[in-house]
Amino acid sequence: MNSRDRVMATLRGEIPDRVPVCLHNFLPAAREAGVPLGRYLTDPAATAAVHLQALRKYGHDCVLLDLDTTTLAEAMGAPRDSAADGPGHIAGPAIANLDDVDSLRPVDPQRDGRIPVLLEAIRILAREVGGEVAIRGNADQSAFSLAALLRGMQDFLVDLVTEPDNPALARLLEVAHESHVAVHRAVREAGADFTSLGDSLSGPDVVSPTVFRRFARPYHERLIRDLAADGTTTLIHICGDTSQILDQFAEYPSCAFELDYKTDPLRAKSVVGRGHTLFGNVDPSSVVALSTPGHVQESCRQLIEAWKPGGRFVLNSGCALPASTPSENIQALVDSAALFGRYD
Amino acid sequence: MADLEQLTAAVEAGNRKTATSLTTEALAEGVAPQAILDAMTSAMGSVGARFSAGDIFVPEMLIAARAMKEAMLVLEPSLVGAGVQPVATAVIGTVEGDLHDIGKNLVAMMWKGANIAVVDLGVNVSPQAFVDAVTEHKPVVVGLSALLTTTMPMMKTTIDALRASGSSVKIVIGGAPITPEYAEQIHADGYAPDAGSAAALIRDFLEVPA
Repeated sequence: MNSRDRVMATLRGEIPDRVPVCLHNFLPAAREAGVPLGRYLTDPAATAAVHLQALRKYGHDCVLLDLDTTTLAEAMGAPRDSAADGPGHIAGPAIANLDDVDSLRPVDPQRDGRIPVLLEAIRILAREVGGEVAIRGNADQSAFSLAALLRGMQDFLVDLVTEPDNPALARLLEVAHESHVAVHRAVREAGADFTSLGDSLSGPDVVSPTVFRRFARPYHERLIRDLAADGTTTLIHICGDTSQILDQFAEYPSCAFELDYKTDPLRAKSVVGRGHTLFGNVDPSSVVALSTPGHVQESCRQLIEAWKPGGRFVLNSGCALPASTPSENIQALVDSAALFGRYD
Repeated sequence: MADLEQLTAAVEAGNRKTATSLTTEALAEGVAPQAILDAMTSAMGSVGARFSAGDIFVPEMLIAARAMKEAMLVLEPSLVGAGVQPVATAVIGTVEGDLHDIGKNLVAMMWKGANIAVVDLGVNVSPQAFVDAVTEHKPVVVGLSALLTTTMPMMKTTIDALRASGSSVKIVIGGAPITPEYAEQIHADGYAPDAGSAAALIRDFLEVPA
């Protein structure tokens, strides 16, 4: 069973030979490869080379190809800035007022912004390691978070509670969703084995489970169903503590969830870990970046013990690893899967 | 007679028009500006507590802070006239490399809601800029915010720089990925899991009743 088989079997709910491991490592990988982040984010040959180097070094099963959380909003016209060689940030809204929503157009993934960088990097990876390693192509922000970036985060959050029935709000979410779906399809066509999305602004660290149910969940479920019709599995990543919406996750059509380390693993496994695949949820900073290889392995061992039974588990950090993460700690995380994760 | 309990309720509910008109009414009736301010800080105190308890979320907190901010525009000249001062000064910013300001803005709002003068250094603030601001403004508390797991290590660098400068200012950290263990590990004086707790924490430092 090669790495790709291991991951894809897990996503189908089959029991692989051992727990597969994925790395959310674009920042340390760029640093280790000596590639400035600004180049990683704009030059697909560099993006792919960074991940290929990390794959050769660590031997993980699943490569997560991700630019940053501004790719789609930028492609739809929101201004972007970045700290010195850091990931991007959306510096302002794409529309000044909610009523301007009709000026927004869905993206053309082959042309707009840096989406072509993402797609070309996936094509390169698929040529180099396709069929051997699972390629997870990240399609950036889902409708809710993308709409928040396009409208301006604080204004969007205020809109949700002060004018939830405004038709312009629904149109904003719809155009964001249309763009987002197009990126998933393009990512898959470029050679990703499965796709993923981020929607952290829709989580309980920001909005209520009721707001999540009305304004975020319907877009997730539509996406999962539309992609499943073409045989594509997708993964939903929401940062922070998602305990309050685990019961909603359990009602989703079959998909994968990447849970951040603040979500209690035992509760997550019992509520959603049967019909859905769980990725995560080792603490990226306190454990992987700032502790020792021994402590990383102990954390992984405990998590594997909790999440391995019944399969449906891919070991990863709960969120992105900091650039400064020591390579011996990353190696300890990867090695834990083979050390503690065998199913036979 | 203007009802200050109604003012508290209006701020809590994020009803900015009612909050503003009740403030105008109270001032016209000669209610002491300090009492009006207290009615609003009390509202923000309960908003913070309800947020910490998971009863309300960021949007509800935003509209409450917006209601107080608008009512404060009416109240401020009278506060100045009556010589009412903020209870303390705090400095806040997101650490170098982190451009995400929503959490920092919420904490700044809640601190202002507790009548604390907030020097907001903005985003992507270098350790040296924090050191300079502490020297200049002599705050009681410095708040360091990081939304990204990837920028958390910069909190330690900033705390080390503040301590190396000889400052004994209280340093509190917060942000979605932060844990109390991490705060302890990098020798922060305090950790707030959310903006509501950040307001309670600063009141503890100041020994100000909630």
